[in-house]
Amino acid sequence: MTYAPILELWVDCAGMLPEEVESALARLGQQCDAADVTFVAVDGAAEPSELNELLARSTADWLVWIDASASLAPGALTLIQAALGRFDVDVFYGHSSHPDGVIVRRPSASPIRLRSQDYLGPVRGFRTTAIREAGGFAPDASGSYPFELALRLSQVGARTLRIPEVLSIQGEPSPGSVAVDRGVVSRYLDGIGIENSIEPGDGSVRVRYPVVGEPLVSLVIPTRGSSAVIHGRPSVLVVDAVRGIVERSTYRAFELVIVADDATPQDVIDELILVAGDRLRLVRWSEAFNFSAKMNRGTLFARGEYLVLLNDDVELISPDWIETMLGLAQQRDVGLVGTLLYFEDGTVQHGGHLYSASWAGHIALGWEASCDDRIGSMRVDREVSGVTAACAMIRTDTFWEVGGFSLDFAGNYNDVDLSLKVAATGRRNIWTPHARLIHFESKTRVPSVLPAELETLRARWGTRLLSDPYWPE
Amino acid sequence: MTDSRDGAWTGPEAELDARQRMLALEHQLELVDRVTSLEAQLAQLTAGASLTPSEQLSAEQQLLALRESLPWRVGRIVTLPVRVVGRVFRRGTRK
Repeated sequence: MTYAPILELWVDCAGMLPEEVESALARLGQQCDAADVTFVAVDGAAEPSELNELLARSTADWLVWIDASASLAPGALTLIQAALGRFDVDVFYGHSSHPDGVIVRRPSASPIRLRSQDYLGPVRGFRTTAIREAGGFAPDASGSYPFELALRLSQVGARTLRIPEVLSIQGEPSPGSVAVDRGVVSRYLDGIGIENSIEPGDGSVRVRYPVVGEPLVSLVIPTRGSSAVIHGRPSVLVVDAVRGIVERSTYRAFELVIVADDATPQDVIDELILVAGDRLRLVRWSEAFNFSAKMNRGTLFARGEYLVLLNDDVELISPDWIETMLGLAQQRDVGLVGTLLYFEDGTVQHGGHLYSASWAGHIALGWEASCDDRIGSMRVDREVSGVTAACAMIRTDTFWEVGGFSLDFAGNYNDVDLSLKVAATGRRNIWTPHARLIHFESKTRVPSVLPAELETLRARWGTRLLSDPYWPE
Repeated sequence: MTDSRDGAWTGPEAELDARQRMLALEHQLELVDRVTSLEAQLAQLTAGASLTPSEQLSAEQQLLALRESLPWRVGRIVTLPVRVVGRVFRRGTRK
Protein backbone atom coordinates (compact mmCIF):
# COMPACT_ATOMS: atom_id res chain seq x y z
CA MET A 1 0.00 0.00 0.00
CA THR A 2 1.30 3.44 -0.87
CA TYR A 3 1.83 5.98 1.88
CA ALA A 4 -0.50 8.98 1.48
CA PRO A 5 0.73 12.01 3.41
CA ILE A 6 -1.68 14.20 5.36
CA LEU A 7 -2.23 17.51 3.61
CA GLU A 8 -3.39 20.77 5.12
CA LEU A 9 -4.49 23.19 2.45
CA TRP A 10 -3.93 26.78 3.46
CA VAL A 11 -6.31 28.82 1.38
CA ASP A 12 -4.93 32.32 1.05
CA CYS A 13 -7.96 34.54 1.55
CA ALA A 14 -6.15 37.85 2.04
CA GLY A 15 -8.45 40.81 1.58
CA MET A 16 -11.60 38.72 1.24
CA LEU A 17 -14.89 39.26 3.04
CA PRO A 18 -16.03 36.52 5.47
CA GLU A 19 -18.74 35.29 3.09
CA GLU A 20 -16.20 35.13 0.25
CA VAL A 21 -13.90 33.10 2.46
CA GLU A 22 -16.69 30.67 3.24
CA SER A 23 -17.61 30.32 -0.38
CA ALA A 24 -13.98 29.73 -1.40
CA LEU A 25 -13.59 27.04 1.25
CA ALA A 26 -16.84 25.40 0.20
CA ARG A 27 -15.85 25.46 -3.47
CA LEU A 28 -12.42 23.96 -2.81
CA GLY A 29 -13.95 21.43 -0.42
CA GLN A 30 -16.21 20.21 -3.22
CA GLN A 31 -13.17 19.80 -5.46
CA CYS A 32 -11.40 17.69 -2.85
CA ASP A 33 -10.86 14.19 -4.19
CA ALA A 34 -8.63 12.69 -1.52
CA ALA A 35 -8.67 11.55 2.10
CA ASP A 36 -6.54 13.05 4.86
CA VAL A 37 -7.00 16.59 3.60
CA THR A 38 -8.12 19.59 5.63
CA PHE A 39 -8.77 23.14 4.51
CA VAL A 40 -7.76 26.17 6.55
CA ALA A 41 -8.45 29.75 5.58
CA VAL A 42 -5.38 31.90 6.15
CA ASP A 43 -4.68 35.56 5.61
CA GLY A 44 -1.57 35.77 3.43
CA ALA A 45 -1.13 39.36 4.55
CA ALA A 46 -1.24 38.48 8.26
CA GLU A 47 1.61 38.84 10.73
CA PRO A 48 4.03 35.89 10.62
CA SER A 49 3.34 35.10 14.28
CA GLU A 50 -0.24 34.25 13.36
CA LEU A 51 0.88 31.82 10.66
CA ASN A 52 3.58 30.35 12.86
CA GLU A 53 0.97 29.62 15.53
CA LEU A 54 -1.11 27.80 12.94
CA LEU A 55 1.98 25.93 11.83
CA ALA A 56 2.78 24.90 15.41
CA ARG A 57 -0.70 23.47 15.80
CA SER A 58 -0.67 21.62 12.50
CA THR A 59 -0.34 17.85 12.56
CA ALA A 60 -0.20 17.58 8.77
CA ASP A 61 2.82 16.26 6.87
CA TRP A 62 2.48 18.98 4.27
CA LEU A 63 1.15 22.52 4.07
CA VAL A 64 -0.23 23.24 0.64
CA TRP A 65 -0.60 26.94 -0.02
CA ILE A 66 -3.33 27.71 -2.52
CA ASP A 67 -4.57 31.06 -3.76
CA ALA A 68 -8.28 31.40 -3.00
CA SER A 69 -8.99 32.58 -6.54
CA ALA A 70 -7.70 29.28 -7.97
CA SER A 71 -9.54 26.00 -8.25
CA LEU A 72 -8.16 22.53 -7.85
CA ALA A 73 -7.89 20.54 -11.05
CA PRO A 74 -9.83 17.26 -11.07
CA GLY A 75 -7.80 14.59 -9.32
CA ALA A 76 -5.13 17.08 -8.21
CA LEU A 77 -5.00 16.13 -4.55
CA THR A 78 -4.84 12.41 -5.31
CA LEU A 79 -1.99 13.11 -7.72
CA ILE A 80 -0.20 15.23 -5.14
CA GLN A 81 -0.57 12.62 -2.41
CA ALA A 82 0.64 9.86 -4.73
CA ALA A 83 3.70 11.86 -5.78
CA LEU A 84 4.58 12.93 -2.23
CA GLY A 85 4.13 9.37 -1.02
CA ARG A 86 6.72 8.16 -3.53
CA PHE A 87 9.47 10.74 -3.24
CA ASP A 88 11.39 12.16 -0.33
CA VAL A 89 11.09 15.87 -1.12
CA ASP A 90 10.53 19.14 0.78
CA VAL A 91 8.79 21.39 -1.73
CA PHE A 92 6.44 20.72 -4.63
CA TYR A 93 4.54 22.64 -7.26
CA GLY A 94 2.99 21.86 -10.63
CA HIS A 95 1.48 23.20 -13.80
CA SER A 96 -1.71 25.24 -13.84
CA SER A 97 -4.22 26.10 -16.49
CA HIS A 98 -6.22 29.15 -17.42
CA PRO A 99 -10.00 29.05 -17.49
CA ASP A 100 -9.76 28.91 -21.29
CA GLY A 101 -7.82 25.65 -21.00
CA VAL A 102 -4.38 27.01 -21.89
CA ILE A 103 -1.81 25.21 -19.77
CA VAL A 104 0.91 27.17 -17.98
CA ARG A 105 3.85 24.79 -17.81
CA ARG A 106 6.42 25.42 -15.16
CA PRO A 107 10.13 24.72 -15.21
CA SER A 108 12.02 22.35 -12.94
CA ALA A 109 13.57 23.83 -9.80
CA SER A 110 15.48 26.94 -10.89
CA PRO A 111 17.05 28.79 -7.95
CA ILE A 112 18.46 31.69 -9.98
CA ARG A 113 15.15 32.19 -11.74
CA LEU A 114 13.30 32.09 -8.44
CA ARG A 115 15.19 35.23 -7.37
CA SER A 116 13.46 37.11 -10.20
CA GLN A 117 10.17 35.33 -10.61
CA ASP A 118 7.69 33.39 -8.50
CA TYR A 119 7.08 30.64 -11.06
CA LEU A 120 5.66 28.13 -8.58
CA GLY A 121 2.02 28.82 -9.44
CA PRO A 122 -1.16 28.94 -7.36
CA VAL A 123 -0.59 25.55 -5.68
CA ARG A 124 2.72 24.92 -3.93
CA GLY A 125 3.43 22.78 -0.93
CA PHE A 126 6.03 22.56 1.79
CA ARG A 127 6.83 19.72 4.13
CA THR A 128 5.91 20.96 7.60
CA THR A 129 9.17 19.72 9.12
CA ALA A 130 11.12 21.62 6.46
CA ILE A 131 9.26 24.84 7.28
CA ARG A 132 9.91 24.37 10.99
CA GLU A 133 13.59 23.60 10.42
CA ALA A 134 13.86 26.74 8.29
CA GLY A 135 12.48 28.80 11.19
CA GLY A 136 8.85 29.11 10.09
CA PHE A 137 7.33 32.06 8.30
CA ALA A 138 9.58 35.10 8.17
CA PRO A 139 8.89 38.68 9.16
CA ASP A 140 8.57 41.25 6.35
CA ALA A 141 7.20 38.65 3.96
CA SER A 142 3.55 39.55 4.34
CA GLY A 143 1.77 38.83 1.06
CA SER A 144 4.69 36.73 -0.20
CA TYR A 145 5.04 34.00 2.43
CA PRO A 146 5.22 30.98 0.11
CA PHE A 147 7.60 32.74 -2.25
CA GLU A 148 9.90 33.83 0.57
CA LEU A 149 9.82 30.35 2.03
CA ALA A 150 10.65 28.78 -1.33
CA LEU A 151 13.61 31.14 -1.70
CA ARG A 152 14.94 30.28 1.73
CA LEU A 153 14.47 26.55 1.22
CA SER A 154 16.19 26.67 -2.18
CA GLN A 155 19.25 28.10 -0.45
CA VAL A 156 19.51 25.19 1.97
CA GLY A 157 19.24 22.66 -0.84
CA ALA A 158 15.63 21.64 -0.26
CA ARG A 159 14.60 18.79 -2.52
CA THR A 160 12.02 20.14 -4.92
CA LEU A 161 9.51 18.21 -6.97
CA ARG A 162 7.77 19.62 -10.00
CA ILE A 163 4.68 17.55 -10.66
CA PRO A 164 4.28 17.62 -14.44
CA GLU A 165 0.50 17.74 -14.29
CA VAL A 166 -2.08 20.49 -14.09
CA LEU A 167 -2.82 20.89 -10.39
CA SER A 168 -4.94 24.02 -10.49
CA ILE A 169 -6.99 26.30 -12.62
CA GLN A 170 -6.17 29.95 -12.20
CA GLY A 171 -9.06 32.21 -11.26
CA GLU A 172 -8.59 34.55 -14.18
CA PRO A 173 -6.31 34.71 -17.20
CA SER A 174 -3.66 36.35 -15.05
CA PRO A 175 0.07 36.11 -15.69
CA GLY A 176 1.51 32.68 -15.01
CA SER A 177 3.71 34.03 -12.27
CA VAL A 178 2.83 35.85 -9.07
CA ALA A 179 4.09 39.43 -8.75
CA VAL A 180 7.37 39.45 -6.89
CA ASP A 181 8.00 41.60 -3.83
CA ARG A 182 11.34 43.37 -4.41
CA GLY A 183 11.95 43.72 -0.69
CA VAL A 184 11.63 39.97 -0.12
CA VAL A 185 14.23 39.21 -2.80
CA SER A 186 16.59 41.92 -1.61
CA ARG A 187 16.41 40.82 2.04
CA TYR A 188 16.90 37.20 1.02
CA LEU A 189 20.01 38.00 -1.03
CA ASP A 190 21.37 40.28 1.70
CA GLY A 191 20.82 37.45 4.16
CA ILE A 192 23.00 35.07 2.17
CA GLY A 193 25.69 37.68 1.57
CA ILE A 194 25.01 38.41 -2.09
CA GLU A 195 25.33 42.05 -3.05
CA ASN A 196 22.46 43.08 -5.22
CA SER A 197 20.30 45.83 -6.52
CA ILE A 198 16.77 45.04 -7.52
CA GLU A 199 14.89 46.71 -10.35
CA PRO A 200 11.16 46.30 -10.78
CA GLY A 201 9.79 44.53 -13.82
CA ASP A 202 6.42 43.42 -15.07
CA GLY A 203 5.50 41.03 -12.24
CA SER A 204 9.11 39.90 -12.00
CA VAL A 205 12.23 41.75 -10.90
CA ARG A 206 15.69 42.16 -12.32
CA VAL A 207 18.46 41.26 -9.91
CA ARG A 208 21.70 43.04 -10.69
CA TYR A 209 24.72 41.27 -9.29
CA PRO A 210 27.62 43.68 -8.90
CA VAL A 211 30.87 42.25 -10.21
CA VAL A 212 33.19 41.10 -7.43
CA GLY A 213 36.63 42.58 -8.09
CA GLU A 214 37.61 43.42 -11.64
CA PRO A 215 38.61 40.11 -13.21
CA LEU A 216 40.08 40.10 -16.68
CA VAL A 217 37.67 38.75 -19.27
CA SER A 218 39.02 37.25 -22.50
CA LEU A 219 36.75 37.50 -25.50
CA VAL A 220 37.68 34.65 -27.83
CA ILE A 221 36.54 35.31 -31.38
CA PRO A 222 37.18 33.04 -34.35
CA THR A 223 37.20 34.74 -37.75
CA ARG A 224 37.99 34.49 -41.42
CA GLY A 225 37.61 38.21 -41.91
CA SER A 226 34.34 37.81 -43.84
CA SER A 227 32.29 40.71 -45.13
CA ALA A 228 28.54 41.09 -45.46
CA VAL A 229 25.91 43.73 -45.98
CA ILE A 230 24.69 44.83 -42.55
CA HIS A 231 22.03 47.47 -41.99
CA GLY A 232 22.20 48.03 -45.74
CA ARG A 233 25.91 48.81 -45.94
CA PRO A 234 29.01 46.67 -46.46
CA SER A 235 30.67 45.54 -43.26
CA VAL A 236 33.77 43.58 -42.33
CA LEU A 237 32.03 41.63 -39.60
CA VAL A 238 34.87 41.06 -37.15
CA VAL A 239 36.13 44.64 -37.41
CA ASP A 240 32.72 46.14 -36.78
CA ALA A 241 32.05 43.69 -33.94
CA VAL A 242 35.35 44.54 -32.26
CA ARG A 243 34.89 48.27 -32.83
CA GLY A 244 31.46 48.14 -31.17
CA ILE A 245 32.79 46.15 -28.23
CA VAL A 246 35.81 48.38 -27.66
CA GLU A 247 33.89 51.63 -28.02
CA ARG A 248 30.68 50.74 -26.20
CA SER A 249 31.37 48.13 -23.52
CA THR A 250 31.15 49.68 -20.09
CA TYR A 251 33.25 46.93 -18.47
CA ARG A 252 36.83 47.73 -19.36
CA ALA A 253 38.92 44.85 -18.02
CA PHE A 254 38.85 42.73 -21.15
CA GLU A 255 41.15 41.50 -23.89
CA LEU A 256 40.33 40.28 -27.36
CA VAL A 257 41.75 36.97 -28.51
CA ILE A 258 41.11 36.82 -32.24
CA VAL A 259 41.76 33.48 -33.88
CA ALA A 260 42.15 34.33 -37.55
CA ASP A 261 42.38 31.94 -40.47
CA ASP A 262 45.45 32.25 -42.68
CA ALA A 263 43.11 33.45 -45.40
CA THR A 264 42.00 36.50 -43.41
CA PRO A 265 42.71 39.57 -45.59
CA GLN A 266 45.70 41.59 -44.41
CA ASP A 267 43.72 44.84 -44.33
CA VAL A 268 41.30 43.20 -41.86
CA ILE A 269 44.21 42.28 -39.59
CA ASP A 270 45.61 45.82 -39.90
CA GLU A 271 42.24 47.29 -39.03
CA LEU A 272 41.86 44.99 -36.01
CA ILE A 273 45.27 46.08 -34.70
CA LEU A 274 44.20 49.69 -35.09
CA VAL A 275 40.76 49.28 -33.50
CA ALA A 276 41.64 46.94 -30.62
CA GLY A 277 45.08 48.33 -29.74
CA ASP A 278 46.72 46.80 -26.67
CA ARG A 279 43.73 44.60 -25.96
CA LEU A 280 44.38 42.45 -29.01
CA ARG A 281 45.98 39.03 -29.01
CA LEU A 282 46.13 37.66 -32.54
CA VAL A 283 46.27 33.91 -32.97
CA ARG A 284 46.89 32.29 -36.34
CA TRP A 285 44.79 29.34 -37.55
CA SER A 286 46.38 27.43 -40.45
CA GLU A 287 44.60 24.14 -40.16
CA ALA A 288 41.43 22.70 -41.69
CA PHE A 289 38.09 24.05 -40.46
CA ASN A 290 37.12 22.87 -37.01
CA PHE A 291 35.27 25.43 -34.92
CA SER A 292 35.98 23.56 -31.69
CA ALA A 293 39.72 23.26 -32.32
CA LYS A 294 39.89 26.89 -33.34
CA MET A 295 38.16 28.07 -30.17
CA ASN A 296 40.29 25.80 -28.00
CA ARG A 297 43.39 27.27 -29.64
CA GLY A 298 42.14 30.76 -28.76
CA THR A 299 41.57 29.89 -25.12
CA LEU A 300 45.22 28.80 -24.79
CA PHE A 301 46.21 32.40 -25.38
CA ALA A 302 43.55 33.87 -23.10
CA ARG A 303 44.87 35.39 -19.88
CA GLY A 304 41.48 36.16 -18.39
CA GLU A 305 39.84 34.53 -15.40
CA TYR A 306 36.68 34.37 -17.50
CA LEU A 307 36.16 33.60 -21.18
CA VAL A 308 33.51 34.97 -23.49
CA LEU A 309 33.04 32.64 -26.43
CA LEU A 310 31.92 34.96 -29.17
CA ASN A 311 31.12 34.85 -32.88
CA ASP A 312 32.54 37.54 -35.14
CA ASP A 313 29.16 38.54 -36.58
CA VAL A 314 27.61 40.25 -33.57
CA GLU A 315 26.71 43.78 -32.56
CA LEU A 316 26.16 45.01 -29.01
CA ILE A 317 22.80 46.25 -27.88
CA SER A 318 23.55 46.33 -24.14
CA PRO A 319 26.75 48.20 -23.32
CA ASP A 320 26.77 46.52 -19.87
CA TRP A 321 26.69 43.03 -21.40
CA ILE A 322 29.99 41.89 -19.88
CA GLU A 323 29.19 42.87 -16.29
CA THR A 324 25.67 41.46 -16.62
CA MET A 325 27.10 38.07 -17.62
CA LEU A 326 29.98 38.31 -15.17
CA GLY A 327 27.70 39.07 -12.20
CA LEU A 328 25.80 35.87 -12.96
CA ALA A 329 28.91 33.82 -13.74
CA GLN A 330 30.26 34.71 -10.29
CA GLN A 331 27.25 33.20 -8.55
CA ARG A 332 27.68 29.87 -6.82
CA ASP A 333 27.46 26.79 -9.06
CA VAL A 334 26.93 28.74 -12.26
CA GLY A 335 28.64 27.34 -15.36
CA LEU A 336 27.83 28.95 -18.68
CA VAL A 337 25.97 32.24 -19.03
CA GLY A 338 24.23 32.91 -22.34
CA THR A 339 22.58 35.99 -23.76
CA LEU A 340 19.53 37.17 -25.63
CA LEU A 341 20.44 37.27 -29.32
CA TYR A 342 18.38 38.85 -32.06
CA PHE A 343 18.44 38.43 -35.79
CA GLU A 344 19.06 41.57 -37.81
CA ASP A 345 15.31 41.97 -38.36
CA GLY A 346 14.74 42.20 -34.60
CA THR A 347 13.26 38.75 -34.05
CA VAL A 348 14.74 36.43 -31.43
CA GLN A 349 17.58 34.14 -32.43
CA HIS A 350 18.45 32.70 -29.02
CA GLY A 351 16.51 32.46 -25.78
CA GLY A 352 18.59 29.58 -24.47
CA HIS A 353 18.95 26.02 -25.71
CA LEU A 354 16.11 23.56 -25.76
CA TYR A 355 16.82 19.82 -25.78
CA SER A 356 13.81 17.75 -26.61
CA ALA A 357 12.84 14.65 -28.62
CA SER A 358 16.52 13.81 -29.19
CA TRP A 359 17.08 17.17 -30.81
CA ALA A 360 18.71 20.46 -29.83
CA GLY A 361 17.29 23.83 -30.80
CA HIS A 362 16.85 27.39 -29.62
CA ILE A 363 14.12 28.65 -27.31
CA ALA A 364 12.00 31.43 -28.80
CA LEU A 365 13.60 31.13 -32.24
CA GLY A 366 11.97 33.62 -34.61
CA TRP A 367 9.70 35.17 -31.96
CA GLU A 368 8.92 38.86 -32.20
CA ALA A 369 10.94 40.79 -29.63
CA SER A 370 7.77 41.62 -27.68
CA CYS A 371 6.60 37.99 -27.52
CA ASP A 372 6.72 35.96 -24.35
CA ASP A 373 5.26 32.75 -23.01
CA ARG A 374 2.48 32.54 -20.42
CA ILE A 375 4.86 32.64 -17.51
CA GLY A 376 7.09 35.50 -18.67
CA SER A 377 10.24 33.48 -19.36
CA MET A 378 11.75 35.99 -21.74
CA ARG A 379 12.17 38.71 -19.14
CA VAL A 380 14.04 36.87 -16.38
CA ASP A 381 17.43 35.29 -15.76
CA ARG A 382 16.75 31.60 -15.79
CA GLU A 383 18.28 28.14 -15.74
CA VAL A 384 18.51 26.50 -19.16
CA SER A 385 19.85 23.18 -20.38
CA GLY A 386 22.42 24.96 -22.49
CA VAL A 387 23.34 28.14 -24.33
CA THR A 388 24.76 28.98 -27.71
CA ALA A 389 28.49 29.60 -28.02
CA ALA A 390 27.74 32.51 -30.33
CA CYS A 391 27.97 34.49 -27.09
CA ALA A 392 28.57 32.76 -23.77
CA MET A 393 30.66 33.35 -20.68
CA ILE A 394 32.40 30.67 -18.66
CA ARG A 395 35.12 30.61 -16.02
CA THR A 396 38.41 29.68 -17.65
CA ASP A 397 39.09 26.94 -15.11
CA THR A 398 35.65 25.42 -15.72
CA PHE A 399 36.37 25.38 -19.46
CA TRP A 400 39.60 23.51 -18.78
CA GLU A 401 37.98 21.21 -16.25
CA VAL A 402 35.55 19.88 -18.87
CA GLY A 403 38.11 19.67 -21.68
CA GLY A 404 36.92 22.68 -23.66
CA PHE A 405 35.09 22.14 -26.90
CA SER A 406 35.09 18.59 -28.17
CA LEU A 407 36.90 18.09 -31.47
CA ASP A 408 34.25 15.52 -32.39
CA PHE A 409 31.95 18.43 -33.17
CA ALA A 410 33.76 20.38 -35.85
CA GLY A 411 30.80 22.42 -37.02
CA ASN A 412 27.63 21.71 -35.04
CA TYR A 413 26.51 20.88 -31.51
CA ASN A 414 29.86 21.84 -29.98
CA ASP A 415 28.01 24.26 -27.70
CA VAL A 416 25.36 21.66 -26.84
CA ASP A 417 28.09 19.24 -25.85
CA LEU A 418 29.93 21.91 -23.86
CA SER A 419 26.71 22.91 -22.07
CA LEU A 420 25.96 19.32 -21.13
CA LYS A 421 29.52 18.71 -19.98
CA VAL A 422 29.28 21.77 -17.73
CA ALA A 423 25.89 20.64 -16.42
CA ALA A 424 27.35 17.19 -15.70
CA THR A 425 29.76 18.83 -13.23
CA GLY A 426 26.75 19.99 -11.19
CA ARG A 427 26.90 23.58 -12.39
CA ARG A 428 23.90 25.37 -13.80
CA ASN A 429 23.71 27.07 -17.18
CA ILE A 430 21.98 30.41 -17.10
CA TRP A 431 20.42 32.56 -19.80
CA THR A 432 19.90 36.26 -19.27
CA PRO A 433 17.67 38.64 -21.24
CA HIS A 434 19.62 41.60 -19.84
CA ALA A 435 22.70 41.09 -22.04
CA ARG A 436 21.47 41.60 -25.59
CA LEU A 437 23.25 41.45 -28.91
CA ILE A 438 22.38 41.18 -32.57
CA HIS A 439 23.71 38.05 -34.24
CA PHE A 440 23.92 38.51 -37.99
CA GLU A 441 23.49 34.83 -38.68
CA SER A 442 21.05 34.35 -41.51
CA LYS A 443 17.58 33.48 -40.30
CA THR A 444 17.19 31.10 -43.20
CA ARG A 445 20.55 29.42 -42.72
CA VAL A 446 20.17 25.66 -42.82
CA PRO A 447 23.00 24.24 -40.75
CA SER A 448 24.82 21.47 -42.56
CA VAL A 449 24.58 18.92 -39.78
CA LEU A 450 26.76 15.90 -40.28
CA PRO A 451 24.94 12.70 -39.27
CA ALA A 452 28.07 11.64 -37.39
CA GLU A 453 27.87 14.73 -35.16
CA LEU A 454 24.26 14.05 -34.27
CA GLU A 455 25.03 10.40 -33.66
CA THR A 456 27.93 11.27 -31.36
CA LEU A 457 25.79 13.76 -29.50
CA ARG A 458 23.05 11.19 -28.95
CA ALA A 459 25.53 8.53 -27.89
CA ARG A 460 26.95 10.85 -25.24
CA TRP A 461 23.86 12.61 -24.03
CA GLY A 462 20.86 10.62 -25.32
CA THR A 463 18.79 10.75 -22.14
CA ARG A 464 19.54 14.44 -21.62
CA LEU A 465 18.06 15.22 -25.01
CA LEU A 466 14.67 13.60 -24.45
CA SER A 467 12.80 16.29 -22.60
CA ASP A 468 13.89 19.68 -21.38
CA PRO A 469 13.39 20.26 -17.64
CA TYR A 470 13.56 24.03 -17.99
CA TRP A 471 11.31 24.47 -21.02
CA PRO A 472 8.45 21.98 -20.64
CA GLU A 473 6.31 21.56 -23.73
CA MET B 1 78.82 6.92 -7.56
CA THR B 2 78.40 10.69 -7.14
CA ASP B 3 77.26 12.48 -4.02
CA SER B 4 74.16 14.65 -4.18
CA ARG B 5 74.82 18.37 -3.88
CA ASP B 6 73.04 20.83 -1.67
CA GLY B 7 72.23 23.32 -4.49
CA ALA B 8 70.44 22.73 -7.80
CA TRP B 9 72.56 21.83 -10.83
CA THR B 10 73.38 24.33 -13.53
CA GLY B 11 73.69 23.69 -17.25
CA PRO B 12 71.95 24.30 -20.58
CA GLU B 13 68.37 23.17 -20.04
CA ALA B 14 66.21 21.77 -22.80
CA GLU B 15 63.00 23.74 -23.31
CA LEU B 16 59.83 23.11 -25.21
CA ASP B 17 59.27 25.69 -27.88
CA ALA B 18 56.05 27.67 -27.95
CA ARG B 19 54.45 25.41 -30.56
CA GLN B 20 55.24 22.27 -28.59
CA ARG B 21 53.74 23.83 -25.45
CA MET B 22 50.64 24.83 -27.36
CA LEU B 23 50.18 21.36 -28.80
CA ALA B 24 50.70 19.82 -25.36
CA LEU B 25 47.98 22.01 -23.90
CA GLU B 26 45.62 21.20 -26.76
CA HIS B 27 46.34 17.54 -26.23
CA GLN B 28 45.52 17.97 -22.55
CA LEU B 29 42.15 19.53 -23.42
CA GLU B 30 41.46 16.72 -25.85
CA LEU B 31 42.25 14.04 -23.27
CA VAL B 32 40.03 15.62 -20.64
CA ASP B 33 37.24 15.85 -23.22
CA ARG B 34 37.73 12.20 -24.11
CA VAL B 35 37.44 11.12 -20.47
CA THR B 36 34.42 13.37 -19.94
CA SER B 37 32.68 11.97 -23.00
CA LEU B 38 33.37 8.39 -21.92
CA GLU B 39 31.97 9.17 -18.49
CA ALA B 40 28.90 10.66 -20.15
CA GLN B 41 28.40 7.57 -22.29
CA LEU B 42 28.82 5.34 -19.26
CA ALA B 43 26.28 7.43 -17.37
CA GLN B 44 23.77 6.71 -20.15
CA LEU B 45 23.72 3.08 -19.04
CA THR B 46 22.56 3.98 -15.55
CA ALA B 47 20.57 7.08 -16.47
CA GLY B 48 17.32 5.54 -15.26
CA ALA B 49 18.69 5.09 -11.77
CA SER B 50 19.99 8.63 -11.46
CA LEU B 51 16.85 10.52 -12.39
CA THR B 52 15.62 13.18 -9.99
CA PRO B 53 12.02 12.77 -8.79
CA SER B 54 10.90 15.52 -11.20
CA GLU B 55 12.68 13.80 -14.09
CA GLN B 56 11.20 10.45 -13.13
CA LEU B 57 7.67 11.82 -13.13
CA SER B 58 8.28 13.54 -16.48
CA ALA B 59 9.63 10.33 -17.99
CA GLU B 60 6.63 8.37 -16.74
CA GLN B 61 4.29 10.99 -18.15
CA GLN B 62 5.99 10.82 -21.54
CA LEU B 63 5.82 7.05 -21.55
CA LEU B 64 2.13 7.22 -20.76
CA ALA B 65 1.58 9.76 -23.54
CA LEU B 66 3.47 7.51 -25.94
CA ARG B 67 1.33 4.51 -25.02
CA GLU B 68 -1.83 6.53 -25.51
CA SER B 69 -0.73 7.88 -28.89
CA LEU B 70 -2.40 6.75 -32.10
CA PRO B 71 0.81 5.43 -33.74
CA TRP B 72 1.50 3.27 -30.68
CA ARG B 73 -2.02 1.86 -30.59
CA VAL B 74 -2.08 1.24 -34.33
CA GLY B 75 1.32 -0.45 -34.01
CA ARG B 76 0.02 -2.70 -31.24
CA ILE B 77 -2.92 -3.76 -33.42
CA VAL B 78 -0.73 -4.34 -36.47
CA THR B 79 1.77 -6.43 -34.52
CA LEU B 80 -0.92 -8.34 -32.58
CA PRO B 81 -0.84 -11.50 -34.78
CA VAL B 82 2.95 -11.66 -34.56
CA ARG B 83 2.87 -11.26 -30.79
CA VAL B 84 0.16 -13.96 -30.44
CA VAL B 85 2.13 -16.39 -32.61
CA GLY B 86 5.29 -15.60 -30.65
CA ARG B 87 3.57 -16.26 -27.36
CA VAL B 88 2.07 -19.55 -28.57
CA PHE B 89 5.45 -20.61 -29.95
CA ARG B 90 7.23 -19.80 -26.67
CA ARG B 91 4.60 -21.68 -24.70
CA GLY B 92 5.01 -24.67 -27.04
CA THR B 93 8.79 -24.80 -26.72
CA ARG B 94 8.58 -24.55 -22.92
CA LYS B 95 6.53 -27.77 -22.69
